[in-house]
Amino acid sequence: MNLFGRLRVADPLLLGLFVFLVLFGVLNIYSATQSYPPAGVPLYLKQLGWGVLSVAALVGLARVDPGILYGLAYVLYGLGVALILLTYAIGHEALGARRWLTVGGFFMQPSELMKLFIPLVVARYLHGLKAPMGFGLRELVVPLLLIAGPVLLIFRQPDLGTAAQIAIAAVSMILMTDVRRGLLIKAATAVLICAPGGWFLLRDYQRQRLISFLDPEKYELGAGYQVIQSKIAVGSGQLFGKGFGMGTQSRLQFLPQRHSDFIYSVVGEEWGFIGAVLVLGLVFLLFFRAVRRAYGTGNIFHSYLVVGLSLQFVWQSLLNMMMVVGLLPVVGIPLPLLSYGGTNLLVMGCLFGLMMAVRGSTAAPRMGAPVR
Amino acid sequence: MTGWSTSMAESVRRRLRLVTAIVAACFVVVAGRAFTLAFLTDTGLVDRVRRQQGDVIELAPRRGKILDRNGTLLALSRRMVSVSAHPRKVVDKVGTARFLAPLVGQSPAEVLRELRKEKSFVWIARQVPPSVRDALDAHPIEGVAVVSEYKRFYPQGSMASQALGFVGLDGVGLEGIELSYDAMLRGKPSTLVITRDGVGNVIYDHVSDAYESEGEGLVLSIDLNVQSLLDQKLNEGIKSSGARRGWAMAMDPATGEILAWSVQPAFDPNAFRQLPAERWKNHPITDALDPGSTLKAVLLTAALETGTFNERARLFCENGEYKFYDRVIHDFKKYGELSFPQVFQLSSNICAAKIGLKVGAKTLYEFIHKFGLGERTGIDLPGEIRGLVSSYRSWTPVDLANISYGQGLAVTPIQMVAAFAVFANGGLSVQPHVGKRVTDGRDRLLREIEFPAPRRVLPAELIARVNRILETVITPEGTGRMAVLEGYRLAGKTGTAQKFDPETGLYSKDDYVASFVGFGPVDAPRAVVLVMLDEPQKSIYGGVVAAPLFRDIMSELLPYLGAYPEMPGVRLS
Repeated sequence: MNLFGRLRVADPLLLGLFVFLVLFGVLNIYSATQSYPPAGVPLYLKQLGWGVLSVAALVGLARVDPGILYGLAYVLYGLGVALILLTYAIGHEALGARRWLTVGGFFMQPSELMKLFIPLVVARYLHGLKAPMGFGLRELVVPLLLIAGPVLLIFRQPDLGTAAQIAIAAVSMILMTDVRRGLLIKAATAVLICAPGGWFLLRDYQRQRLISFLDPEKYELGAGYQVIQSKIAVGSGQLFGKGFGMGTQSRLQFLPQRHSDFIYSVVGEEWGFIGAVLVLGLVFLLFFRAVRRAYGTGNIFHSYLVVGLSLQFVWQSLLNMMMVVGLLPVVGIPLPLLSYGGTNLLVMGCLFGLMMAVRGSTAAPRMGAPVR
Repeated sequence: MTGWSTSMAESVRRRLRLVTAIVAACFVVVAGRAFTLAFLTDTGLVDRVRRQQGDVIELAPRRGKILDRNGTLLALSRRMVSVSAHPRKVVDKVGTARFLAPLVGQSPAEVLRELRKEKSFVWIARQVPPSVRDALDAHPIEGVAVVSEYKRFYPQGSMASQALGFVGLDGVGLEGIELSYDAMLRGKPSTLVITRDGVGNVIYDHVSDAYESEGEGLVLSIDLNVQSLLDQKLNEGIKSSGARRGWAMAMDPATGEILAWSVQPAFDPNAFRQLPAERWKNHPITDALDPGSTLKAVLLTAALETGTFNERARLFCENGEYKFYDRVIHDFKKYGELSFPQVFQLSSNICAAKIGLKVGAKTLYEFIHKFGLGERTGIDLPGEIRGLVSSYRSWTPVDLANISYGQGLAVTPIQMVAAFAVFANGGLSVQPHVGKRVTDGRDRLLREIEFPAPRRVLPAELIARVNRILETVITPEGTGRMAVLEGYRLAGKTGTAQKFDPETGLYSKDDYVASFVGFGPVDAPRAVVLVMLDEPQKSIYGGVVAAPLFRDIMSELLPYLGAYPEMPGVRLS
């Protein structure tokens, strides 16, 4: 089978959207780093390389038998947790946090892998569960623990952003499963009551971020700086933007992390409101297209897996964009597919690959039909 | 592994749709926020970007020219270059300083001090000759830039310098016409736009188009020929009288156009900083002085207009000494009985006081105001003061007597010129001015500058009667005998005023201002001329030191303005 034939296996629209967003990200990284290029290989070229690798991973994983995933769920999960533990021991420290492992000269964040393995393990666990009345608290203890363990480890690295994002996505995955309605209401109430307590779990700089989020102008040159500069960038783009390569906010280094976490503000500044909404729409389309695959699988594991992975993708996207436009405090979450960063891009390739591995989606409804 | 179990329950499907909807709602929220930032944020994020990234350094623009009424250049701007540097980018600071110093005429140490500043922009030299650019083009230095700027030149040197004023290094008018017409002359400033990045580096600079920023030109009513005549005569007068300084002005009474504005000693506006600020002063508008006997012309008008006296009236002048309350009023010469016109022809203070007391405080005060004394004339030069004429209600009889011969009130010289223009004009008041018309960069007329039209303040018949008396001043019998000019009928008034010493609050016993103000020819006046000498030493009398200057000026000025002498037996065809 030639390459074209291989690619045809996957959902072509999904793959197209994926590739388009990656390329658009490369374009914006080019623009953002053009004025002050770091030494060495240009970042946009690196990102392009990671993009190719990521698409390869996607296409490769799309051909994997979901049954293998089912079988390896716990093993992969355990491996992921072990890698996170390893960061505590031999992790590369940067900016006061140990999140990275050095693998063959590359930095990698094991926490990124959990975006794959947590949905996998939760779907695996819930698949086997029998509960005619729907899931109650007793049924959910184990999956919640499966989530909480790695999330806490990531939180302690410390990496508040990734921990929160994985937790939010994983919990929302559980909430859409067959949970009893009564429990949902109780849980919502409990969260509202306990949320203030979370304040004491935070570190000083994390608290500072939250405070500065509530009143950024007061911390214009301190913690609020990033938010303000990002908002200025998005706002000054107006309708059509300043044009490719013309974003003064980003080119002149007013924007922090402009090629990674704040790439969306580069989009907003240079491509305007139109560009910002276009990216937003495409990301949503990607999510919508992916999550629709869950309906037609005829298999609860497959459905849960697809939904869980889609939610990881979409929540990361949303949290990042909300942060960039000042709706959420600044926490270090990259924008999937667009932000500079090899690990995340590769993980997203794997994520969509795993999703496409679940077959029988858009083509024809094969409800209840055995996969093999 | 056995077959896959249950498919999705309907409840799960519903919940999945709900999750999708929630996610969709979040997307809408983000889009809404982006919309708000881009279009509805009233803090003006676009402006904010411009503010934090931009920095604008204004450069001396090509300022409009200033010409005299005949088109002779009085002020022009020439392109020069200014050298700036971005010190952080200059690698070899010592070598650069050594290279630049001789080019810009500074010492290497001075240049090095600028280059060592922790700034992203410093000026090395402003407005140096364009050849510096060639040198730097041939030997470019990283971090050193050259921009064009314009420098103001005054080709006539010190001529009419107080009227012209000057501009600062940034091309903004600081004094004189340069200040009062600054907005017009300046045009749009060209700017050096600097873009700064988030860590304070200058990214690029850009000079906005200099041609577009050129200001409008200004043609003055000043005539350089008349100016040089007044300058010359006044300087001679200062020298011969030993005066501290002096000023002389010539004005066309019909229009209020100032033909010459001489304040001596003058200064060179090309190097104004080398002289103290006192030398830049426009004394004719910034100094208020007791007018002295010249004010008697106003008294005369008031007396005739109110009918208190007529030309046939006779007054006793107390033989030179008149006890009045606790004071004694003196005349310079002893007079017995004089006719009403003789009082003015001979300038008797005693009889002027008597007339003033008869005319009354209120009436005299009204006439002082009719002539615009104690009020700004509105001349288009900066810094004009009002002078000081206190209200008649506070006048004691002694005050009234004093004011009748010009002591006890303070008026500016330009007010005296404007007041005598009323006589020359047959009762019309004009606003003195130096600006005449506005031109474009190629000296083409854009518009005439508009000033208030002449305004009638007194009837012509009355003024004609007054002028007949003022004419007798400049006769062999009058105090202005030294102003007599053969072939012309001139009118005027001498003035000798004690200077008021602001430090002691008393009139000085030794310091006087001698003045003469007059116009001619009486039938069709071409010019009002005022001459004032401050603290003359040889003689204190206006009739002795100022009147001859008036005559010398008139003898050359009137023919120049087209009024030729009427020689008995000679007819010009």
